[in-house]
Parts: sequence; structure tokens; C-alpha cells
Amino acid sequence: MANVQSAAEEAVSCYIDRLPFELLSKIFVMCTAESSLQKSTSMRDHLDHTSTVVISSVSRRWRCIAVATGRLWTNIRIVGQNTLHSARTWITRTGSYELHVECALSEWDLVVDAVDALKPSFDTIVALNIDMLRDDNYVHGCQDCLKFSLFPQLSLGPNRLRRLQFQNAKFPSASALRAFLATCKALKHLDISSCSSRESWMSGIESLGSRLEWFAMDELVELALPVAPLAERIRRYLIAPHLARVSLFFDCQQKPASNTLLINESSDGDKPKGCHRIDELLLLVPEVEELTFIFAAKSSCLDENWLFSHLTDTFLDYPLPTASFVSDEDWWPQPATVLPRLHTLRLLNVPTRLDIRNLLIDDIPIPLAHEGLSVDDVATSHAAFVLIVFHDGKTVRLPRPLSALRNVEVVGYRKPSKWSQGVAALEATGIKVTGTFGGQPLTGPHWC
Amino acid sequence: MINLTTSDNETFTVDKKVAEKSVLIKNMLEDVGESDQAIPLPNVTASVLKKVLEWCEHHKDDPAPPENEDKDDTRKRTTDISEWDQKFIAVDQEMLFEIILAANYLDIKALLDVGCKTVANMIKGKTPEEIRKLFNIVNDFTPEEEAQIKKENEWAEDR
Repeated sequence: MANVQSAAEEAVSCYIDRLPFELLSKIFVMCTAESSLQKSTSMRDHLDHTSTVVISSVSRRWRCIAVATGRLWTNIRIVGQNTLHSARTWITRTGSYELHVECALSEWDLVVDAVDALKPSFDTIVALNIDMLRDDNYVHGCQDCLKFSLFPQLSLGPNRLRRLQFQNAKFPSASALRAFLATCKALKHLDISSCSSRESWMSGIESLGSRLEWFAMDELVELALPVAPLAERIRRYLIAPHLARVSLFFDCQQKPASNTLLINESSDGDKPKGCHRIDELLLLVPEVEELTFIFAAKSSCLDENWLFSHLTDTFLDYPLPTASFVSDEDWWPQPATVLPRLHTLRLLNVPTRLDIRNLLIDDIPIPLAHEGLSVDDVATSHAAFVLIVFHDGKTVRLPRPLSALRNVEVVGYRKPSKWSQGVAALEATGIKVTGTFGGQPLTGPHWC
Repeated sequence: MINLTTSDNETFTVDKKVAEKSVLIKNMLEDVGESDQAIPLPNVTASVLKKVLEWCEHHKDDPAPPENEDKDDTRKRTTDISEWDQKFIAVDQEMLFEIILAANYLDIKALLDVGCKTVANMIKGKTPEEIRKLFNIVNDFTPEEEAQIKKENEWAEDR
């Protein structure tokens, strides 16, 4: 009798069990909410996984509700044999809910098994993160996996992927990745910033031929790329009309802000040097809004104005438009403005020979620039940023719907020799110019 | 003004705008039309309705929630509760769950969310045993079921 009374009291005081199925189910989903919200999930974040396991271990009723709540089981994390086994069970409980899958595997067999386990649910996976783990012992196996197994398996049919991230993958070639991406019609976010390929930067002949293999990703809005040939071998083929945010990752770098680019001419080793790779870097981020260029203390550029001449006319055989190139026209193979969203240009460590007036034009032949001819000596030109045409000695300003450049910040040890003329010329077009000179030459931030 | 009668026969007279935070009451008013008769709320006691109306009064000018919210709505951050709401919901467990049930019955989505988020925050980061202790839940698994769950949970981690 006493036991019966005690049990009754206990039941009465368990207020949470007064909640009906649907409310407890709602609360359980909220318990697992925060890690699901993370844009880029981390393999170290076990919160979501643990919460689901904990919730389903409290009581029979809780377990019954948890197992019947498909959304609780939709974050699949496979990092080894145990979690692979567990994933199979979880997938059976998800019903038709969209899956978020993370795989961090370094062993070939496990990758194959994981793909097998996921295969029945490919059409419900909306976020996929495959981390090949940075382990040199397994690099070879991972390459094989990506080339011969993973992509063909993943490409079996249409998918609903909206977010895709590959980490530490070294692709034998970019073509397999491109073929897979071409099937991802719903993809909005792509991150291959820690990946690489065995290929080199594209040659002129390859660029010319690339047009035949261009492919469209109509929904893509965000792209994270490494500063590596792999990036060029994706972007030169990719038509992404809604692409608005691009991040370039250098080695060891924290996530950079979208649509910003820092080119450091003084970098050494095999890191990108401003002198010979500016055009490639700009091609990777035509969406760039803030560009910082750091001249080397002893600039090894052919000419200090070389930078400006390379900010133009680089989009031949390039699959534009992107969201940067807003135009009424459906197709704009070669825009006159190279960086239409660029609003801030920072030039650090500038040499005294720099003539910022050259920002206004794009086609001073380099030999002429060498001879010190000014913009007034050029009969006809069209502008890199501000779309000014010099015609018959008159300056004709064109409408500037494509130009966003508003700020030029120049920092150096001494003023460039034609500084005041340069400031006047740019400010006449509405560009604010600030100069900071003196002090010690800047060393500038390094790549990492 | 609207009259509402609780399950324990207490009548509250409230501003129509405040009462219409409840979709249930709003629909009833639309169906019945203008009437002096009190609206019966047989599933809500006076003490709970008093708290619910306090919340409705404070939020009476809030914009209505969108009709078609994101399907991931329930995955909003559970910590995302306003300071006023946090103080409002700092009550004992019995009242907390009564408010949740009342908000569900009266169809006041925003208040329901505040209550559910509060409970979710109480659960997060705890072990099953800690959760049982917090809510007075009886561990009613059989030893066999316990063993099965333990095994399954071991599969959920790779160390």
C-alpha cells in the first residue's frame, strides 16, 4: 500500500510527463538545435549526437518519443567503425527528413562502407561534409576513393545537396569533382578550401578549350576555395549566376572574410606572388569588394603600374556572369569592368614611381607606361574601374553602373612622384583617396 | 472587453487585443461574434491563466508570427529567449509545465516556444540520470532494455 502511494506521489510530481507526445518531441528537437544551426559543422562537436543519445536513454516514454521523432536522428556523424554501425540505425529512424552527414575517415574500407550505408538515403542528404583527415599515410587511398568510388557512388542519381564540404582531400584531377558538382543542382554552399589536386595552373590552351565543358550551378551563392590550381580548375568551368560570396583560403589561414583579397608581393616560397599570379587570383574572385595589395620592399614587378594593367581584360574565355556582374543581358563574356564590386583598394608599401591615375584606364600599353606617358597622352581608352573614355582629347564619362570603387587607400614610405595629380584625377571621379606616408617601410602581413 | 472563465470558475475581464494573442480565443470570437457571454476555458486554471494573460499583456503589440515559418523553426537557438520572458518563466516546474500546456491549448505559439525552449535549456548538457533527478522521472527500463541501450550508445561514439 505504502509503495502504491509512494509511486502515485512520484508520478504526480513528474510534471514533464504531463506533456503530450508532440510537445516533448518539440522540446527534444530544440535540445539538439544549436549544433545543427552551425553553418560549418565541426567533427569535434559532439553535442548534437550526445543529446540525442542522452534523451533516448532517460525512460521508456522518452525513448519511444525520441525514436519516433525523425528529426532527432538527422545529423549523421561517421568517424569510425562504431559510428558507422550507429549511422545505419539512425538512418532507419529519420523517415523522410533531410540528413546532415559528416564523415571523417582515413581508411579506404570505411569510406566505401560509409558510402554503402548512405547510398539508400542519398536523395535525402542536404549537407555533406567529407573530411579525408590530414594524414599522409592515407593520402593515396583517399585519392583512389574520391576518383573511383565516392563520386560515382554519389553521382548515382539526382541529389538535394545544399551544402557540400570536402576537407583535406587531394583530388587526382578536378574533372571528377566537376562531374559530381554538375549533378548537384540544388547546391548553395561549396567549400573545398582545404583541398588540392595534382594539376598545375591552367595553360592558355586549356583555358581556350574549357568553354566546351562549362557547367552551371544555378543555386550556388557561396564558394570557399584554396589558392591553388584546383580553384582555377573549378571556377574557369563554373557558371554560377547567383554566386555572391567567395572566400580564398591561403595555407594555415583562418576563414577570411568573403569577397576580400590580399595579395602580398613579398611572399616567398611557392606561395602566390603578386607578380605572376595576380590575374589568376583575380579570376578566382571577380566578386572581390576589398582588395589589398602589398608591394615588396624592392618590388620585383616588371613595372609598378603592372598591377593596374593586370586588373583589366582578364576575363576572356571565362564563364561569367556571376552575381557580381549584374546585367540585363543574359550573357556577358567580357565585362569592361574587371572587378565591378570593388569598393576599397588598399595599396601598401607603394613605390614612388606608382601613378594611381592608371586606375582610371586599362589599356595603356606597358611600353608606353614605361616611358612615363600620362593618361592625357592616350587617345582612346576605357576604364578599369570608373569607365571613363578619353576620346579626341576630351574626357567622356560613361554611366557607372558597374563601378563601385569609392576608396583608395595608399600607404608608403614616401609619396609617389605624381601623387597630387593622381589624387585630383581620382577625386574628380568621386573616388576618395587617402595617403599615409613616412615611418618605416611596412613589412605587411604574411600569408599565414 | 472579453470575459474568460477558468476551469475553477474564476472570470477574467481582459482587453480584446490581449485575449486575441490566443488563436483559440480569436477564432472563437470570430465564430460567436459580439457577445457578453464569458468564454469558457475548461483546461486552464485561474492561477495559470493569470500568468498567461500577464504574458499576453506584455506582448500584445508584438507583430504576429509569419504564417509560413521556416520548417526548421523549432531548431532556433534555445538560448534565444528575451530577458523579460526569462524572468517571466522563472517559476516552479508545476507552473512551467502548466503554462506550456495552456499555451498549447490556447494556441499561443510564441509563449509555447518560450516554455519549450526553457525546458530544452534545462535538459541540455545533462546525463540521463541528472535529467531523471531534475524532473522526477522514473527509470522504467528493464535490465535487458538498459543493456541494449548501453550497447547502442557505445556504438554512437568512436574514441
